[in-house]
This record gives sequence, structure tokens and C-alpha cells, in this order.
Amino acid sequence: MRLRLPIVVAIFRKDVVDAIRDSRVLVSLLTPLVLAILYNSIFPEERLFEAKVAFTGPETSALVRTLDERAGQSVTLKLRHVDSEAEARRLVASEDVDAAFVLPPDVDDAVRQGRRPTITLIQPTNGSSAANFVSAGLEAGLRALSGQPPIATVAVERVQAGSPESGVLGELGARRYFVLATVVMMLGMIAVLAVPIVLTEEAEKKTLDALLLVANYREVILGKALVGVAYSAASVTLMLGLTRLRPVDIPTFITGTGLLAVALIGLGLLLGGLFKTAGQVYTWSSLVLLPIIGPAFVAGLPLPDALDVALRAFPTSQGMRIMTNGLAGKPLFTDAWISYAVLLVWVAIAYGLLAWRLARRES
Amino acid sequence: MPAAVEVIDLQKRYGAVRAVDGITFSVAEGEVFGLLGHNGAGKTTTIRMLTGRARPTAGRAFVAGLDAVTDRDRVKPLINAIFEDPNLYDRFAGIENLRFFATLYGVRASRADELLELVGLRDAAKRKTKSYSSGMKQRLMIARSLINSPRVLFMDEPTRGLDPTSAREVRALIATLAREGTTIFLTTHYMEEADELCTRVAFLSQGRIVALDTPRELKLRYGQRTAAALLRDRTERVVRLDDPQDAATLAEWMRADQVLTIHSQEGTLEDVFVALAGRPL
Repeated sequence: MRLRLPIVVAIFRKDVVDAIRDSRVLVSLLTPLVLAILYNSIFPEERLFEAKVAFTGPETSALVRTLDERAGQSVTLKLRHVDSEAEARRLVASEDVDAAFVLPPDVDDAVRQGRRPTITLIQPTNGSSAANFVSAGLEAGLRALSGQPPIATVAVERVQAGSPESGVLGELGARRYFVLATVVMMLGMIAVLAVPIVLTEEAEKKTLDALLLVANYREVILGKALVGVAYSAASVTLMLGLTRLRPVDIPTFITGTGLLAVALIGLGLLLGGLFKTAGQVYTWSSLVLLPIIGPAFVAGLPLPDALDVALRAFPTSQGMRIMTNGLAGKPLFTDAWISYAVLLVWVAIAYGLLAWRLARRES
Repeated sequence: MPAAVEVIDLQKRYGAVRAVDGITFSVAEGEVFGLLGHNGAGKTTTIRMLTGRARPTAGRAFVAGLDAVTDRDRVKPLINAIFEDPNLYDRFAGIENLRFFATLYGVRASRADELLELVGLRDAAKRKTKSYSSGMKQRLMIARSLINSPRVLFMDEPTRGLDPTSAREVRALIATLAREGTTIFLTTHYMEEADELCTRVAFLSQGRIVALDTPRELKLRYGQRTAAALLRDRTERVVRLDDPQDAATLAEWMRADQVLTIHSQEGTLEDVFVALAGRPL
């Protein structure tokens, strides 16, 4: 049977517009979005610590730049330039800043020429993590500025403490973890609610009869699947934008999201064929959603072994694992190949069954 | 010239149920062909097979000279259909419905505007179809069915559920299409509609064709040859035209100027159907 792209595209375009006009589909798109924004505001931004530091002296000094660069993503460094040493001292005393430092006016040149300038670090009497951070940062900056190589290389080795994945929530942070789980929830709602509604309504209202006068089943199904893919892509992008989540390993994140979306959409299309009315889909899909979405939310939590193994059979659990690794930019979940394999098996099962049902319907 | 529709011993079974049980007929180009029968007689199943939406269990069907099963993809651009129930995208405006199908059939978008004009819906073009009346929906479905200028148009109960005015408008549209040369394959419950529109009709009962001919021939064959005469004394008398005695009596009344009016009482298609199928539609 021929697959005519213009017909598929026409059906896809019609459904993209039609679905958004359906309040049930709109709710399925907006619910996770609202939930993600809620999580985003409930859980604070995770940082190791925040350092408020004042300084006086040249604002453009290489030492200031070095400090800024060392802060990276793990420290929120709020640098504040003040006019005098007295002002810096006053800010530390009043606890408006955690620490302060005083740079001589020609500090960069003085270091380069070996004149050993004095840099004063002002800290509270009980010390502060911020002062330690500034001290270490200035020292590294001074070495670099004077052209000295590091006196030794410090190799950092991380040792997994506890069970391998017990620390995923802690390492990723509650905000990022739950927002990511909500992204999976959105993929689930689009695939298991929106896509079957779009398909079932076509049969319920008998518009499918008119459609099949010109199109064939494969073209109709492909058009509907593309609607799911388009909504998934747009929703995930929107959600990441609204919640300011930036995947570090973008290819891994996109692959995981794409595979999960395709697998779920396949299941959604199968589900759509089981119901006669869109109302039934709306009612029963809510029940189906629980086992589909649930595993994503608990994928990073410490669970009893038997439950953990059982949940790993679910596509959302494995999709969540790949997406987590993509978001963190490192393998917080090990054995990623198993996740890919499980998702591929789900894709094969869903679309294999779909092809079988289409073949039966066409005969 | 090949027949617009040719059906040879067509059968469709659903398990033990014989929905269509070996029907054979052909429809000439430009003909308005009526398929009449009770609910469940097999009318809609026949249309589904002819439009490629159901595969026959046995037998063959040709539409526009092409096999309706093996050449399904080539048949599709040549046909269209109007369905028993309104099946429009109700969150779309009338014009959006037509333009979508124009895109599917690969015809220019302006065809949608022309058809809305033809069916008298230009003023309602931008209204969502859920706000349309039954008659408006039916007219829009007719417009949709013409979007690809089909050679054969299948119409399944096109006036069902319409008020008399809307039904008359739809019948007028069908008559116009027929005059313009579109072959129309019509199923209907309404015998007067079939009588008015169809060049030939087939009666379907339990999946089988029990009669097939022009409405006039069927009425003559199965109806009674009688006439009702209203006499000057205001009595109505029925005479049998094939009875020599009644014919003589009628001639006598005429000579004596006793007859005020006289109406032939040929059978209706309804009578024919009852005679053949055993119960009215």
C-alpha cells in the first residue's frame, strides 16, 4: 500500500490545529506544564553554596576573572566592587558579604614583575566557606599570573558511596529531578491521552469514513503519530525553557526523549484502537497513565530490589534514566545500554502490533 | 464505454452472517441508481465495498472500469461519497472542512469556495460546523463529496433526518448533479425520493437483490392497474383497467358525463417493496 507524503502532511496539519481546539487535549498538555512550573518554584535552585564577596581595587584584574571562572556552576559567586577598604571591612562586619579582599591598584603588573604585592583578605572571625573559596581562588590566580606552573597536580577521584543510584536525586537536585519527571509525565499524557483522543474521535464522529475515501489507514495513523511527535517536541522545549533546565549532554537527552516519545505514541495509538469514543479514552487513559508515569517519578529513588527490577521494564523508567544522564551530562544511571535496549523493545512491540492490526483492518 | 459500476456475485460475510449475499448488477455512466432496502439489508455494506472501505468475501466489483479491491488506490480519486450520518470536523469552519479535503485530493483551494457557493453556504463559510443545522451539514457534505469532481458519487441516505424543505433542497442538488452527468449510486429509505430521482432501482432484502428495474416498470409489474373515478353524485368508484366489464362501465359514465375526475391508481414503489420484501420500509 502506497504511503503518500502530501496526504500524511495534510492529516498532520489538520490534527495539530484540531487537537489544540479540543479542551481535553489542551488540558492534557497544560497539566504537566503547570506542574513543572510548580515544582520549579517549590524546589530552590541547587548550588553547593552562595558566596557574597566584596572587593576593592581594579575591577578588571585577572584575579577577579579567575575567581569568577572558578565559581562555575557549583558556586553562586556574587562579587561586589566597593570604593574603599573601610567599606569592605564594614560590609563583612555587618554580614552583608561573606568575605572581602583588597587589591593594590597595580596588582596584576606587580605580580608579573615579582614585586610581591600584598592582597588583604577580610573575613569574619569565625571564618567562612566563602573566604576559603576566595583564598584558594586568589592563590591559583596569582600562580597563573606570575607564570608559575602548579607545584603538583591534584587528581580527583570520585568513589560511589552507598548503592549506585541512591544518590541520583541528591546529585541531580530535587528541582531538576522532579521537573524532568514531569517532562516524562507530559510525554505520557500526549501519547496516552491526546493521541488516542485524536484517533478515536475520528472513528467516533465517522470522519474516518470520509478520510478513508482518499487516504489509507497507514497514512491516517502516521499523520496522528506525527501529531504526537510534534506536540512532544514543542512541549518538552517549552517546558525546559520555562523551568530553565539545560541538558549538558544534549544528544543523549534528545535521543532518550525521542525514543521514549516514539514508544509511548505507539502505545497510545494501540490504546486508541481499543476504545469507541473519545470520552472513554479520557476516562480510561487516566488509569493507564498511572503505571506509565509512576516509574519515571521513582526511577532515582531508593527502592526494594524486586520493585526496582520490575519497574525497569517500563519505558518511562528507562526513558527517565537516559534523560537524567543527558541532563546531568554524566552517567548518574549506569548501564545505559539496557535503557536503550528496553526502549527499543517497546518501540518494536508497539509498532509491530500496530502494523499487525492495520494489516488485519485493511484485509 | 465501461459501466460506471459493475458488480458480479458480490458477497460479504461477517462470521455466519451474510450481509451481502451474491449480488450482481451494473450502473451505466450518468445513471442515478437506487439501492433500496430495510436496515441491515446490506446497502451500506455494498457501498463500503464499492468505495474500498471493506473487502468483499467473494465476487468482484468494478468502479469506473477499475477493480474496487485490487485497484483501490486508483479508484479513490474517481469517486466520493455522502454518508448516512453527518461526519464533519465540527471544530472546523465549513470552509476549513472543504479546504482540508481539497488538500487531500490535491485540488486547488478555490474549489472549496466554488462549492460553498453551489450549495448556498457561502455566508456560513467561516462558521464552525457544529453550529450548522442538519440541512446545512448535509449540504456541506454534498459540497465535500464534489471536491474532486467524482465520476461516481455514492450517497447513503442523503436526506435522512432532514426537514421537508432541506430534503427538497438536497434532492434538487442531486437532480442537478445527475443532469450534469455524475453517476449517482443512491441508497434511501424514502420510496418517493427513489421514484423521483432514480433511473433504475434495486430492492435489496437480506443481502439479495429481489427486483431491479426502472421505477415505472416495477410499478407496472407489481402494482394494480386501477383508476378511481369521482362521479357527479360525489361517490368515488374504483375500476380495474384490465377488466372488460369495468372498462365498459367507465366508458358508459364518460358518455353520460358522470365523471368529474379520474385518477390512475398505479402501485407505488412502496407497494412493490411490500409485495417483494413482505413488510414496508
